[in-house]
Amino acid sequence: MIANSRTCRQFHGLIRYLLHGRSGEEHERVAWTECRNLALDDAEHTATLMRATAAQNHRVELPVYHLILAFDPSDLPDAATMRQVAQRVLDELRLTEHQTLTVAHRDRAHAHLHIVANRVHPETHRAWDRWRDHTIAERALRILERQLGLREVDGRLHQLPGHDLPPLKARAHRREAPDPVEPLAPDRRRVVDEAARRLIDFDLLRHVGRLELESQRRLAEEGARQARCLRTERELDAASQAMYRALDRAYARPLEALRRFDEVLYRDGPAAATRRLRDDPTSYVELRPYARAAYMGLWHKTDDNIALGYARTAVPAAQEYALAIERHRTAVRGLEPGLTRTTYDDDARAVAEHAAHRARFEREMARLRRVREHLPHPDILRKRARTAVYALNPRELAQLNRSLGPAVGRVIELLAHRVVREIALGRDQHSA
Amino acid sequence: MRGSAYATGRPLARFIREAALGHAPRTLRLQTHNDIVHALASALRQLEAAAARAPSAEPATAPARATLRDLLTRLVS
Repeated sequence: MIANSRTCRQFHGLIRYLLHGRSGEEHERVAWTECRNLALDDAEHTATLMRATAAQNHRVELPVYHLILAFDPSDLPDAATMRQVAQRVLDELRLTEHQTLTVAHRDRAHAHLHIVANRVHPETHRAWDRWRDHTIAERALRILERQLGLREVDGRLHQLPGHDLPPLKARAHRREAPDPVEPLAPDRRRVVDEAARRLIDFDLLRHVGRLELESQRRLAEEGARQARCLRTERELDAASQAMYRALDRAYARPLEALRRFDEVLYRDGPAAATRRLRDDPTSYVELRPYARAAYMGLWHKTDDNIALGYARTAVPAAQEYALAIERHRTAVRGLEPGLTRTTYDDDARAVAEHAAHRARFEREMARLRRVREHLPHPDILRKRARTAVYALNPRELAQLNRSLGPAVGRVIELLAHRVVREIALGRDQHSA
Repeated sequence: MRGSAYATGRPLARFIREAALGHAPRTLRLQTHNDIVHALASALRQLEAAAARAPSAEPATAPARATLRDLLTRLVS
């Protein structure tokens, strides 16, 4: 899923477009609509109601917030899923109490929906601040993709473990436009090609340097994560032993009881598991039989109340155990706590994805290091690149910039700046 | 025609002249209108929230809500 957003001034124009299209007659493209925090359910009246609310705050110039959520063409979400996605994104953006109109369209191959929100709060009349809204929306979408089994997109602003930073495809595509500059003479062409080779080598060197810094940062993060994991693992061991001792007093088969407690914990959550231990302890396994003396010790009879009492006293240990498990899983997965309830399989998959991602990164680093070994010393490369840039005229520089793309273009810019500075300082080209 | 001129806040002759020269003048929306719509919508929403919280009060508030909804619909149409 991807999200896009903008703000604008008028509710009427946008809502008319969403409901009736540009021509005003495209009614069949609306799959469904949903109004929230509006007095009337008719989508046609939404604009007037929102404008009346927005007029209560005279300082807001752009009261309309328009958010577009688009699914991948391979995803075929039903209306309930789309509503769930819209609800979650609005929650994350803290727009739950604001007036919103959600319009789902079916005029494209991919499912998508538009959310029109009134930035002015209907009760407090304060304006909602859209600071970092793209990042928040992307974060929510990444989590929802994983939860709902939708196609996972590599987000630029927020990545989950296992995701890569996407390349700048659109910009690279624009750079591939046909070159309008007239062709150079063959001897100058050779000079430009040589300059291009030198710049590419120099840029590769800078790229490897950047990746090495990134690698060190990742190693440090990985170390911190492992330290966290070790600490939470020790806590979990202690909690698990305490839990076992508590269950041993109450149950005839404490290991089996612990295994079933784990099942309920992962399926229904910690609150349900501990509630079941307190209210219905026999639902795990049979209780430990305790005998109580009767008739002055002449007779012993079995009393379940003792084991039931022990089961109830195991509840604090169970709560501590559930908390320790949650903390450990959070540390293992590298996620923020309380974001999502997952299963063992999800944990294992996340850890495997993380390891695969790290292995890919290390392989790429090793390849680039091998390439760098065949390059000359960085100082020589830098000097060569600067000399090559110095030998070109502005037209050739522009052509080179167009043909090599944005990263190398920045190198040219940097080198050209230095060359100009050296000319200003009165140095000749041989000192460059 | 007179009603349209009144809704735009212009005298009839001026409305006819402007309409004849180009687009008809837009209907005037006063801040008071916005305030009334907002106040009515807010009251209706609060009544509906109260009815949802206490189902026993739902029949008692139904006529008031219907009247408010009708009034609001006429105002925003």
